[in-house]
Amino acid sequence: MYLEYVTSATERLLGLVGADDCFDIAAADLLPVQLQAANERLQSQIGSIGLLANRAASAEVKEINEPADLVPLLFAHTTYKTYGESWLSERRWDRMGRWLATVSTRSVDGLDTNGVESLEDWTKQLETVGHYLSCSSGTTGKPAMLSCTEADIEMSARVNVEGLLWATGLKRGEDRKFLGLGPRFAAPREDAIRQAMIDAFSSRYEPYQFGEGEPITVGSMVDMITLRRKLADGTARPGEIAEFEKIATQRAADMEVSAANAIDAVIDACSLPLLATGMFATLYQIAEGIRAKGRGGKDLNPDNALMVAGGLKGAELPPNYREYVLETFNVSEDRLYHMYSMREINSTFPLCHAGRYHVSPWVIMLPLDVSGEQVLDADDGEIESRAAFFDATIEGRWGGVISGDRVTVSFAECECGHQGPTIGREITRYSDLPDGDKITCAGSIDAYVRGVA
Amino acid sequence: MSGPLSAPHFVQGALVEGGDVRHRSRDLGADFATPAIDLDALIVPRSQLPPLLDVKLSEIIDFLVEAGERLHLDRNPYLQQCLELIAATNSLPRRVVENLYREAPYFLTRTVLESIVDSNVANREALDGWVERVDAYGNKGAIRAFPPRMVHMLAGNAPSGCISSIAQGALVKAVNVFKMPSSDPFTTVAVLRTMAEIDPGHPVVRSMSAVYWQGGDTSIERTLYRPQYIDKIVAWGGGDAINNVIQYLGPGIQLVSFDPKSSVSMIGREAFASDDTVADVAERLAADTTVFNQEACLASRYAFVEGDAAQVETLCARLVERLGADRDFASAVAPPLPSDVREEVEVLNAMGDIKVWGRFDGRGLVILSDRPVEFQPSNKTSNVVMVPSLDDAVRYVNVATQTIGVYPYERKAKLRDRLASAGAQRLCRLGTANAHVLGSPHDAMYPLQRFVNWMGDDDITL
Repeated sequence: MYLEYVTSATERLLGLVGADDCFDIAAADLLPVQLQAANERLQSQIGSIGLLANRAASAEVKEINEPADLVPLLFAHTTYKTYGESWLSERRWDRMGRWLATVSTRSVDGLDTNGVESLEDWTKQLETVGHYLSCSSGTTGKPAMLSCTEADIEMSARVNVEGLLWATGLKRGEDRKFLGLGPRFAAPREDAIRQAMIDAFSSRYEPYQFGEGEPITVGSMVDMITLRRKLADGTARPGEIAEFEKIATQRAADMEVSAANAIDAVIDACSLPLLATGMFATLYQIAEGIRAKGRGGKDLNPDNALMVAGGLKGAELPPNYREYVLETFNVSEDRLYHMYSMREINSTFPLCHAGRYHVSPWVIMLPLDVSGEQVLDADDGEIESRAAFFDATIEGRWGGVISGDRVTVSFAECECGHQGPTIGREITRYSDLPDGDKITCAGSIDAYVRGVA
Repeated sequence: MSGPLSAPHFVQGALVEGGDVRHRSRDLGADFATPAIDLDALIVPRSQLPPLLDVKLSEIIDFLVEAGERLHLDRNPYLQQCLELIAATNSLPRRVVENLYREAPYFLTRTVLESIVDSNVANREALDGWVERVDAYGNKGAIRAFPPRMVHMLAGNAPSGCISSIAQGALVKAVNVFKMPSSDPFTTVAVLRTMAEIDPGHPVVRSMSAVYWQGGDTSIERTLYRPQYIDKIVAWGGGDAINNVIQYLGPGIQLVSFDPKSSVSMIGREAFASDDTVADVAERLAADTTVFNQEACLASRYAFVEGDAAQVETLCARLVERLGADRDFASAVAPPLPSDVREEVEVLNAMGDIKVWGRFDGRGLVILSDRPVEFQPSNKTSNVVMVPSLDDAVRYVNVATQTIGVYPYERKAKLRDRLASAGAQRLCRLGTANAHVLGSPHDAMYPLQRFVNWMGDDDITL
């Protein structure tokens, strides 16, 4: 075991990445070293993350001795969206920089924003002072922006490869054709994860990437935010909205073209062993296209592997979507790497054959009450809770995060035979829960802005 | 744990009891049980004339006034019982609900009811019958404000609001279905039971039904929301409940919406004339900010203030003290702020972009910034925004702005055209947001005019 030879608790936990038995350690055995690691991170980051210092001061927490000590220090997943939309739309890079530094380990000292015009320019420039931004994707909403260090990026890439090896039994150095079957979001962390997959499993064949031309960047979201601000302020002109609608229609049409091309790409590669990645919503659409062309199933290589992240994100699919996708891509259950993760942490939790996500040993699983204020006791087995984590691998930010996900958690040994905390397959975002009953006379301008929410 | 709370229905004059359907209130998660809804009983077929059609308006007003006299909390067992029940479902403190109930009789005084009618309809005789008229060319005709069939979707944040809705429904002689909110599935039935005690067969009582179903329940809404049954759906507020309704709108079925609103204050540099004026302005601003613990649309959320930094900071310090006061319609401690808002305030504070007075514990929070914060201040939070001049504050007013409280009062007149153009709906003196001139429009309309079906009988001789 690595645990005995290294002095810092954080290093001891990091040493477990890639260890054969890393998903088979009882939670109780890990907790002391995990708490020690959380404490080490607290002591080293409290001086640099302004928000953490404020939290620790107002909660009067000086060190972490038990899981409950972490709770007042956890950052909500929305923390990384707390910048002002107006700073972005008005290109106030000084404020954006000060904001980023407040929620990140590294400062923005020495950042030169002269000549920075777009968000893209700014994120590029941030890399010169050691901030590699990971931004939430999608073409709507306010993007979260998380600062990663070089080590965070390397760790994210590594845990993805290791998780895939653990869950599917694939071997490093296998030759598979890599198919990226979802819109590519260009950012250092996402690029590194993709490249690590290709390096580990796909050196022989040219990888395929969904999407025509340039990958999506966070910058393209700024136009949407700017328009939404202007609509709320009442200063948007009809011509601007029409232009925006035109671009949105074009983007939707591009996606259709990309999906059609992806269908052909899978069919073209049908004789090769594949490693495909994507989200179920897009994979389902592509699977339907493959079947419409009379292909799929046995036409494809029986050794195909599939890597799927996340849930359905609000997409409505038939109940058998999972089987439908696996069958079409000819992927057996044990070649599916389905994981649960979130942008706010480096780690990914692979789904085992018993249908449970296994929490990595370098992550403290904190099942909280709905409001995120109390750690719930899981003695009785399975408990429903708001998921919160402390990921000891995170360097660029504070590792403690409260998610927006409702999960079921168990600390008992899993039916698959492995120890350690696990999360049930059914995961619901609290924001997706029906709220059809709400009616109140108080409301904000958000209710009056249509089409760019 | 005892069983679920009992929430009976009231259908066309009769109390319907039963615990067939269990529900959970959305705000506080309390369980309550209602009888099953008999949809047939909620609808009066169009072949049948509305029960109130031939009842004179004066008689309706007499009846409502008598009902109002019986709504005094101290001698009304139904309201007393409600007060105990509502604590489980509504986030307003019991004492605030009690004070709201104590005001209940005043919604149904003769003066109030007469003012509503006079301000809403030019000729009240059109409510009582066919009114003859002759146009500029000598053509004869008659008009009548014909009673509509209505659903009132009551707001969850104002337990006494149902009384105004009952009065409005009665004054236009409508056939009414009140869809109660899960945060208060009790008060409307209590008021209607009080009315039924006067005369269970009175046409006002027979024109009223109050039921609860979970908003969005398609088995009810898809069936009921048809122009064959309903002319108007009146919605008090916004939220997901309204988004559900919108899909059923179409020819013959209209939405009359009191939209979700937010309110602001505008304070001129005259506030800093003396210590006393600062204290007075702080108190007035606190009073406007805390109405229903800031759950109300007319509660101020942003205060635009002229003055130098030191002056404005003095006002902020005074304000946070006054936000913590116990009031008739606000409690010293409101529920704490939502965590995402707290997170945003903490980050802005750690950046040094804002100054903060108070804590996140619901006793009151003042956030001083140079432009409005991007989240909606709630739970007794005032965002004080420094502006060089109130003219600069006009651009922060938009189509979601309802009430604007101004200090000093003389400055209202100079601002009001531009504020109306920006989308605002009402001005008042700072500190009086929760008081109204009788017969004033609500949300930029005279609603009774929109409730009725204006029917014409043209009698042209060729």
